[in-house]
Amino acid sequence: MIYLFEDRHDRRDNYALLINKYKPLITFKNFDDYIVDEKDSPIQNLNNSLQNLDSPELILLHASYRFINDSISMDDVICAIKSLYNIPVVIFSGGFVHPSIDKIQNKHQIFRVNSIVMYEHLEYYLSQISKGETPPVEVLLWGENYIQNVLTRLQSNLVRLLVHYTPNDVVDEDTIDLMRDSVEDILQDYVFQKQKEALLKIIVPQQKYDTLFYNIQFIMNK
Amino acid sequence: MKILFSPNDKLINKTQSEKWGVDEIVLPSEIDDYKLPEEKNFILFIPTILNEDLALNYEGVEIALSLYCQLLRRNTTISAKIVLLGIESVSSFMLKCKYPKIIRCSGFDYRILNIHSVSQYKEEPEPINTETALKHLKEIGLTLPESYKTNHSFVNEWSYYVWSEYMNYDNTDVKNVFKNNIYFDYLQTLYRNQKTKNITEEQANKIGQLKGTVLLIDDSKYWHCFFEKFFRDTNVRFEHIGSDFKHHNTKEILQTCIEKIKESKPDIILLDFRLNEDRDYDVKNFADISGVKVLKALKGKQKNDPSLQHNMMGARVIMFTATGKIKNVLKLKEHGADGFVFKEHPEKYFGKTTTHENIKSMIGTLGRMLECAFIAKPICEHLGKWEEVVITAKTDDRVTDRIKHVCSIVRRLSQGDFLTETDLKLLYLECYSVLEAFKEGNENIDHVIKKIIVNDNFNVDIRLLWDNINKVRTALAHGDNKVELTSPKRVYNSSEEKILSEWLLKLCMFVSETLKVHFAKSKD
Repeated sequence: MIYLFEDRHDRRDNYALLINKYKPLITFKNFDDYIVDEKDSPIQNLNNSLQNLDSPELILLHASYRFINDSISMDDVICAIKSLYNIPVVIFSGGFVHPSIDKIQNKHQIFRVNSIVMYEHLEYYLSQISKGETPPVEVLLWGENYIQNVLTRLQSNLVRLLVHYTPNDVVDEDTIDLMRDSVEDILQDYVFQKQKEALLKIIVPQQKYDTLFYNIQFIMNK
Repeated sequence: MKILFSPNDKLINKTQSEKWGVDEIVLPSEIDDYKLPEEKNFILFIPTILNEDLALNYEGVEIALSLYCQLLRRNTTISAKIVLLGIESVSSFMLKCKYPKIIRCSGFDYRILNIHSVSQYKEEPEPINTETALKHLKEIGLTLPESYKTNHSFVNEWSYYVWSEYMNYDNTDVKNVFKNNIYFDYLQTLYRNQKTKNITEEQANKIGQLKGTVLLIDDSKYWHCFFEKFFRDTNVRFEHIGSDFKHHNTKEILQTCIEKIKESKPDIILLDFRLNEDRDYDVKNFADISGVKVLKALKGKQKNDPSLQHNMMGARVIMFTATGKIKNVLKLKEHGADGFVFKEHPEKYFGKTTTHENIKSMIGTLGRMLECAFIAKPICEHLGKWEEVVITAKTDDRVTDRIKHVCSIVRRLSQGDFLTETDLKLLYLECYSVLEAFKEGNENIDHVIKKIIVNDNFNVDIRLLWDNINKVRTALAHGDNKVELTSPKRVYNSSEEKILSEWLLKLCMFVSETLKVHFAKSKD
């Protein structure tokens, strides 16, 4: 279940149809939906609230969410989520210009994205899930350009592995192995199957840097 | 001098400068604070992609643009090259990057990220022609951030930045906020060489002459700081509220404003349109925007707090806003806004002349409004007293009807951003009509007048006014500029607004006293 903690009424209204269309995949949520026990501290109450989430897989959180208790900060919420669940969190705000990703011990991922951008890509993301696919969270950052981002990321990774070669150098086998690992690692999703196969065909030993570079470029441009 | 930016310190570190054939390697952690070298001749090698997870951001391109702007802002001719180190062909880069035209800018070059491209780079840095470079920079297509929130806060901060520059105030605080903001760099570069046009002596004198009480209601601490400096050497008592409004809902904001206004009794309220950005973008009705709610409470027709409205009717509410929408301005006028001071929009900025015009207009508005408030506030306070007397007397006759009518008309007439000679005359005649109502009702008020006039609190001008009141009335009604008064013989020139406003105020005091004595007598 995806929990969308949204406190802006205009956005709740604008996207109500979309959220209803994809129920029970996703639901709007409020922190004050939960009963607050006055005996507990605000942080304890926050933890209790989050503990009650039913099998959360992804949390989408408005960066300027107004908590009833002013002492609760966004850091407290992220901290509470991290202590309870090993799931990604997407923080959205009208103030974010570029998307960003924080990886915490390669385990917890915090994504930051502009709210307009996130909502724009939400339908595509949900439609993918409803088709039985498992789109990565990055889809909320890039939408359909996610594929482009992954391929550009791979291309950059491969170019960096070749950075010390001059045009006529033959690329050594260790580098070829690293490049192949990189392709396997970055193109895990089945949508990249064709590119992956094509790249693995050309990234083989005994090739000159120049040839390898242009072949990679050729496949990426396809 | 050759400088290479490393996309990753595991890939390129400081020890590899010789291998890469460069003089300096800038590590990723140093990029944000990097300043161009002092040398007049250098080549920068900047990878287009710095963070691979967010490859499509092309972070390196924005950094290159920012450094290019830095370079163009220098007043000396510099020979430089900025070589973008890409991971793909030029055409592929141009298809994917947000700013593909960067490659066409003079001084830019594109190569593949590779040791060979850098160490064997043979091109020499060329002198950059600033005019051509600026032309290219404009063609890149840098725009304001699209999102409403970012856009709104950019306009606020930009306006604060340019106005502080113009006024010679320190603005390091906002410069830090704009750090690494490419659009800010761009604007600074476009208008870098404006002939220094800062506050003129004439303007400074005009600011120095301002007097009264100004209350700023704005959620931005920058503006609190700006106006504190602006009114520092004036006779203006300046107060501000709003820096904590982001934690408040509209009801709390309204309450805080009302309490503060009652306490400080300002002549002018500079009122921001959106007092809580987050909440205000959430509301559907214009009337529910926090600034509009405050405006309505002060100037609106609904009398949820009559005491506040009576006190406030003479004070001026100036909307201090970043909104550029005409429909918003018209609606604000409809809700009673007396004037506007517009925050400077970066897209409507054409250099310091724009700021000069805006500051000039603001000083004019503030001066005019303070003058208006100086006349209208005490009058409106008297109107409040008249109404109070009438309400307490609980009588319903010609005089009470007239007072109700006059109060409503005078309040309406005394609004706006100008009080002309004609306005003052009209106000005078309206107030005078209260006294006429006594006569029309065959009320004998001679004893009342006598009682007031013997009272030491009234100076000789009141007597003079009363003795000549018909003459004055007639003169005003017929547009005569000179009124000759007897006992003692004096000539008042009624075209002098000061005299008109003084008489008006004295008339109001006179009516107040008359009403007090008359209704006290009726009660007996």
